[in-house]
Amino acid sequence: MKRDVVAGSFVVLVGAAALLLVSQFPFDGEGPSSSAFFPRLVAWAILAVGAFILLSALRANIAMPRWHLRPIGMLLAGILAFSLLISPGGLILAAGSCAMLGSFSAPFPSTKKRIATVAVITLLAVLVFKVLLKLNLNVWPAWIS
Amino acid sequence: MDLLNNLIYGMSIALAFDNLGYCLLGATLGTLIGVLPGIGPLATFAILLPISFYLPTVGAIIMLAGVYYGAQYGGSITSILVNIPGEASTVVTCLDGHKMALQGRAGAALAVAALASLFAGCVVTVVVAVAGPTLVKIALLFGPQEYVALLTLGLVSSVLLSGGSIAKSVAMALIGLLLSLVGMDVNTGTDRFTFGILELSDGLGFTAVSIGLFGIAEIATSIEETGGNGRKIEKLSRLWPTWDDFRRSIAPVLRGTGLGIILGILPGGGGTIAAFGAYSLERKISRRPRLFGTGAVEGVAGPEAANNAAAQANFIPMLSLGIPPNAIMALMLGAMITHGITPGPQVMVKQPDLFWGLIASMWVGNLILVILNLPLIGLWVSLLRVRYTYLFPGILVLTAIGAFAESNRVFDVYILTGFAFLGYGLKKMDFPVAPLLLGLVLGGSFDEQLRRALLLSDGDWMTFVEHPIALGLFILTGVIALLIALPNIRQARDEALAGED
Repeated sequence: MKRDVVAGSFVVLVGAAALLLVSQFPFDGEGPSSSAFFPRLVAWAILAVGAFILLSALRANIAMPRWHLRPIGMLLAGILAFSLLISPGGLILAAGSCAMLGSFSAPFPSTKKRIATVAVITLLAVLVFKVLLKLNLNVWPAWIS
Repeated sequence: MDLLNNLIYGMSIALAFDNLGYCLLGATLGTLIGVLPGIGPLATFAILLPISFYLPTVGAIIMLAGVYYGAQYGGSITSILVNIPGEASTVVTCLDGHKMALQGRAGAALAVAALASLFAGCVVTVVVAVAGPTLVKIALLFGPQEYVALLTLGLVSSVLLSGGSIAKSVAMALIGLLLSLVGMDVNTGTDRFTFGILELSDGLGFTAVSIGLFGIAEIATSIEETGGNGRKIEKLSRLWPTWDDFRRSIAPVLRGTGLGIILGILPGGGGTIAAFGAYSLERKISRRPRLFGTGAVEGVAGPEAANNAAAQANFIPMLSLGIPPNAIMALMLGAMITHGITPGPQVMVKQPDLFWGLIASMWVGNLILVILNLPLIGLWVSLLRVRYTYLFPGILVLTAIGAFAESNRVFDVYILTGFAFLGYGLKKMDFPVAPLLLGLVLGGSFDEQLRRALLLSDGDWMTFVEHPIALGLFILTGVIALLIALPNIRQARDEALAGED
């Protein structure tokens, strides 16, 4: 697939979606006093630039680069684990899971080193954010504390 | 005399024990993250932004400025030692700096880079102290028409002077403007693009968006490119430059500083163009141009001075007009807003401790970097040898806690996840992401000032032509756009900004 065709289509899609959403804003004024005034201008501009990128892409021939799903996938999984665990599970569980999943984004020399790294990071997170910066969150899961 | 008094006042704030500590912390952390391959100052700044939320306002901004200088210097270290520029502005440092390292003169190259940056930093501090208040006086005359023109100039210049395709840069800036409109419209109270989600009424969390777009996406691409491995680095021998190195560096440093200041003040101007400009200038006027690219010390001194001068001169429009000339200053602006500061001419009047403290801290920060980096260069070299796989999980935890802690909301971590994926996708589609951040930061003011100007003129767009300052700024915007369209200048831009985000 051509890279710039994907890029142009993405921009056109954003512009079109924005226009659709702006059309559904409640009426709250005429012209510049309306909350839809500036968003509508921007949406039309996005649509126009997207169309330009798309038309220019028809002449170019650069393939879409390969997506390496492991690094980004494991990083996102780590953040998601943090978001799901921080309230019920506390900082140790959330930071530990985030670091563990994130560590799979790149090859590790050994499992022992992976576990040791995660343990050190979790300990540092508690020390920095709870002890030093006194962040308002639980260290342990709610059912323990 | 006023200037001297103000600088002494600023110095008393910057040298206060806690502020000195924050400056040291920022410079150290900035260098620490900045030496990681592929993670430039922008990503470093985004990753470390949340730490500032726990500090007092002045200390927080001083720490972030320290992160900025530290990250810049971290980029120079990787350029010289491992031939990997931390960012586009240090690409030229690789050309001669790494060649010097291969000749066993890495220590001299690093020292010249640090001392050139220190000199440039000291000069620019004075320039910021003189130019800032002058611009503040002009800015106080501005009405909505002038602000719209100024915001347009800032956005257009940034788009034209960012790397990659201009059309894609424009698209990113516009999408940034659109994203800035998420939340409740302050004029009418209408929710825009919130999809009924209560948390979006306050807008998108700036920290989560910037960490996602820059921090996580850059870590992912860095892992793809390096596999998370450390680097093999030759042992450093002699650290101090020779007398001949000093002698040959003086004139390039002076010229680089001058060029960096001029290019740094201009909207969209930044270290990359300044560094490339300084390198071309030195090669052009040198009696031995063939030495360039083979380890000429002039090829390190000039660009490093220019790079640092431009980086610090970027503070002038940001502090005095509230207009960030590039994405890092946009992040700084966002940090100031998060701390309850309204960036612009009023900062100098209402918060002189912040204004002058920050200016004086530039001196202190550059000095700390030299003291920190020359004796401790062995530490950074050791860090470059560590497998990055050990460091990335820690950075990930830091970003997740940072996004959460801004407002203690899990929703912001979801925003971070979404924008991390978006940032990665945008990189794959070769979109420069920096203009999006500028659009995001400036969009709110643009919307407000444009609508105010049009309401005052009963919807007449000619109001922008009838105000002479606004008209002048629009003409300047047009001239810059036309200049970039010229084939020769366009080609020079593409060469200089290749690799810039």
